[in-house]
Amino acid sequence: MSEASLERAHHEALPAATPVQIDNAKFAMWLYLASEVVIFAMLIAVYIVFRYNNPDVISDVHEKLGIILVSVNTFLLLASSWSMVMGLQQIQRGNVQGLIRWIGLTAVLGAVFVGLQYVEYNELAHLGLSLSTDFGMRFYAPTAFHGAHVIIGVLWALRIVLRARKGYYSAQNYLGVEIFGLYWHFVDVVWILLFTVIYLV
Amino acid sequence: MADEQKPPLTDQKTGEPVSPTPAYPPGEAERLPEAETGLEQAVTDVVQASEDAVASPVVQAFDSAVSAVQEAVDHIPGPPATTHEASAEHHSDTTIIMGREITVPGGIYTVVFIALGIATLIEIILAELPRGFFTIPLMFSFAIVKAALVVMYYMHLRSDSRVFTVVLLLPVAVTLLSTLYLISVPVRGY
Repeated sequence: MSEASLERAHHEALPAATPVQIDNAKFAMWLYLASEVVIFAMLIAVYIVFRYNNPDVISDVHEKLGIILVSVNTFLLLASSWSMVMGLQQIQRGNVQGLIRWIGLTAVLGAVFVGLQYVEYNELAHLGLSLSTDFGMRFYAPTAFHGAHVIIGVLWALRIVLRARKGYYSAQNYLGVEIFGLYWHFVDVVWILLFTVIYLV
Repeated sequence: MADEQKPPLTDQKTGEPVSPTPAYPPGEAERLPEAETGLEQAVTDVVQASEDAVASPVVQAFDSAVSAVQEAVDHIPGPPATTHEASAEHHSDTTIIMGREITVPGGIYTVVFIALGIATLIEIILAELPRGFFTIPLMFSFAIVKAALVVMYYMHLRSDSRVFTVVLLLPVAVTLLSTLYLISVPVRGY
């Protein structure tokens, strides 16, 4: 069956607006994300309180490191979030090849993000910012924890690509992609906040 | 959506009409295969146990609590919540921004992506300019707007059930209050 006819079949099958029946798996994902909110908020709060009380320590590090590398990384992660949602749209239209391409791009962007974060950590280590300094531990904890989430997200994206190649997903069955999307966008949201709070302010 | 009639599908060699491949029934893709190893058996057992647990009073109570919350939040006035499948905006490449129709691949998703990029650029410029009284509040505002855009449009909270919104906002509110409290108490040294 061609992509076009699949897409048309899907549009014809669209029901009229019906009351929301929430999906259990999606609800579970949101509850999990709520717990992640608490963990990340705690790490960010620790940083904010330290930043509020020690403004000099941090502007010193900012001067040394510059902002270009981390800005590139931010755009990469924003782009990966966009490609994620484009992939979801493709599978909702029944286009499996489109799903594979966009989610593959998401995985690549996420991997490059982690790579650049490694480069950044290396530079910081040369500048003498270690985990045992007051600022170091408050800086590395949230960013590294976020980096770990990105690594898990990249692996998850690759799994989606593999399953898509085997034909798991269709215009009627894309919940797995949607749930991964929730996770990936959440990781993006966390970075949006970390970027502003840790690198810009 | 324009519906032009397409010729029926035919086999390319014989020319005989063929029926389209049936789609997976819902849940088929998630169905577990037959267990071959001990680990697979264990996973199958856990899944089976969790399915059996659905009938237990605890889960039933949790279920009805969730339903009660859902019913309560669905009564909050606002635009009617529609199912994700029913909201056309996710399927269209055309979206309406401030009264103007814009057609780009990806529709609203691409528009949001461009907005996120522009907001980030402004934030970076703000950070590099000399700091004024409004610099930090402005940067925080941009960050919150960006986060809200992703949550509303990419995570579909705008059109999804309001229960998800409650689930997200509850921890956010608690941790925000905690942070404000921690900032307001004087430092006693580290």
